[in-house]
Amino acid sequence: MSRRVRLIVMLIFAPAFAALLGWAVAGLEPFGTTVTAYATTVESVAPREQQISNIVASVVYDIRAFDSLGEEMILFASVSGVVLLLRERRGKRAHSASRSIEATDLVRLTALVWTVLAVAYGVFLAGNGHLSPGGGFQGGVATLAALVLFYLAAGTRRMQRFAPTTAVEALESAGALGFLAIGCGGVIAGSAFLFNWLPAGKFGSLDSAGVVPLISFAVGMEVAAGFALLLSEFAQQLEQ
Amino acid sequence: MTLPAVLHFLPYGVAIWLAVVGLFGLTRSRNFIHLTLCLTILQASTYLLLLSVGYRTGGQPPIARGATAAPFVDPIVQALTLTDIVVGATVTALLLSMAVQLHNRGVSLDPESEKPFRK
Amino acid sequence: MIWLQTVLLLLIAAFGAGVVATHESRNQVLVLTAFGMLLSLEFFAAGAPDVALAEIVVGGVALPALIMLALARTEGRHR
Repeated sequence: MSRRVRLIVMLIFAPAFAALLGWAVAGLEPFGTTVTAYATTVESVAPREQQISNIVASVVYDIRAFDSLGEEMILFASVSGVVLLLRERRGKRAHSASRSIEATDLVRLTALVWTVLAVAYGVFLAGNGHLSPGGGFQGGVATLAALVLFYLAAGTRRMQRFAPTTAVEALESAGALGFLAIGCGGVIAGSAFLFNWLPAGKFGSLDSAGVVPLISFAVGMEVAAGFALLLSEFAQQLEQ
Repeated sequence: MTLPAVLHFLPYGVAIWLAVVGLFGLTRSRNFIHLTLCLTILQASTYLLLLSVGYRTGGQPPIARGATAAPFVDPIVQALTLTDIVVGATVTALLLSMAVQLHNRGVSLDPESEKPFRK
Repeated sequence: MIWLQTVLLLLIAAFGAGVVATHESRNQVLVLTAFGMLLSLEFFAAGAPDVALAEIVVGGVALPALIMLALARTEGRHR
């Protein structure tokens, strides 16, 4: 199909597709008035039973934790796919003279300060996910921002020494296995897989909400390590 | 002064617009990385659609503060959107790595080139 | 709040079309990052702070870093 024919097909198809979507959307309730039974049940049950503030975190890491397990496995598989694709390197010239631009001292100083702040904020987000907006995934990627800054300031080889690939892979696997292990803890406690088997604690305290902070931390570790692997694979491509 | 009908359709309208625009960019793209970014726009339309379905006028963000009687915005749809964002980022990373590997093998990054195996 | 959402939605539609219309991939990354920031503001205005945080970190940190590294690899040698 030539480019011109493709353009004509799109010009016919796109308005038809938009009209179909518009017809589908017109069948929804008016914007801002949808109230589902599932949502009302969750909103009344979650803060009371799990003593949790962040209802979205309770949905993601407790009530629908099985979906989050699938999502983490998707992330794991995709990172494995990227590593598989990019790790076969021609010529093995990994120690050749790097042609990267050396960062200036100002960039290095700023990156050092912001790296520390990024790690602190990322760990806070991951650990406080059940009390305020945040959670494992957001905290994990925010911690990754520290590694991005480090890479910008220090270059590929120092980043490889700071976060060696074996350690990062081990962290990623530990995060994924930790999620599974916490889920199996529910089975050992005599109930279903991913059942919330820790005590709910006091509302608003750091050890409330049972298993949610642990799962959140495991997810954060896996996400941070997974994206760090992606970053290091892409960065090593530039050393070819 | 207010146009309630237009304003109530606007979130869905923008989601549909983003979907169509992203799809259009996909078919007209001449570079695999440009194509991947158009796919990101298509995915963003789904985030907007999901959150617009769950929105509640006068609703609070779903953070419980003890005993409040305020109606909450739907939290289930927000959990779905969170998963959507994660999967979108990982799919984009995988597509980018495929583009890089194509470049490493000497294949042209133009989807429409007549001789793809010679750069 | 509904006016803030209206303005943000119109900007999102414009920037979305801008990402597709930009042909240079290097410029496209910047437009995509701005699009991600606007999207996260809209999520925040719609009462979804968790999703807004996720969109900020993904669309502002992880995705632009990966895209720019891929661009540096695929377009950086033709000088």
